[in-house]
Amino acid sequence: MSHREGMPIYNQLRVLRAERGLSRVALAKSVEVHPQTIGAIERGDYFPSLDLAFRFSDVFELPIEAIFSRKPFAPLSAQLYNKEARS
Amino acid sequence: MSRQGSDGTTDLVRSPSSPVALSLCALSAAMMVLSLISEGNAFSDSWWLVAFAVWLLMWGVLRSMTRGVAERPREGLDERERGLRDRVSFIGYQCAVGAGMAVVLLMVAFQNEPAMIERMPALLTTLMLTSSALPSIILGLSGAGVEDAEADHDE
Repeated sequence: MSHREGMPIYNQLRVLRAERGLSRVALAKSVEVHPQTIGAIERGDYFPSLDLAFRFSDVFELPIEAIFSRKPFAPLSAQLYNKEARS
Repeated sequence: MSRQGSDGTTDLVRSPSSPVALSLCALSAAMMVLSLISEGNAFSDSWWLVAFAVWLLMWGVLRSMTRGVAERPREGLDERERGLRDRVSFIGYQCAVGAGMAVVLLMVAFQNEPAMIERMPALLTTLMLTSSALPSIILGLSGAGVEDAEADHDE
């Protein structure tokens, strides 16, 4: 997938890392990249390849669309409370 | 999804190698001026020779500081680092070609002025050295490949 200007790819890496208590170094080790690359992806400065996205997917055991999205992710609290309100 | 655009690691303030990279740029500029204003060939100008020795030393230091990306075998780099190294190498190559062409144009323009022609070898040397160091300079300014750069730390 090539980058298109004005179409950013948002990600949940920081949230997922915090949730699972993973440091950047630990996550970088799991997906075999440099910790700086994790930082660049988290800041949205670098968009990973599909191969790397699948590696994140394997590490977090989540589908790719749960980690990366074209639309901004809602805050975790909002997601959680909306879900509870509906159920 | 991969992108080769502006990279957040290009933070001039936080990179420990950026002072060395900036100094190398300044020294290259000084050598360029020296090679143009020296009496005859700058190879015999002691200031230019001293600057050249310091330049080589600083380049070695910068090369060492950026070895994480600049020196590591390609297999040891991740996709972002590979892209970054390819990009800076290409910039260096383009600058080397441009510098060579610029000197050729100068030689054509000043072909009837022997004093100016005599300055060209030192000018070409300075420009080629700077072009060859440009990948290291860009990596140094960006902080990429510097082992203890900011991204190693968690927020």
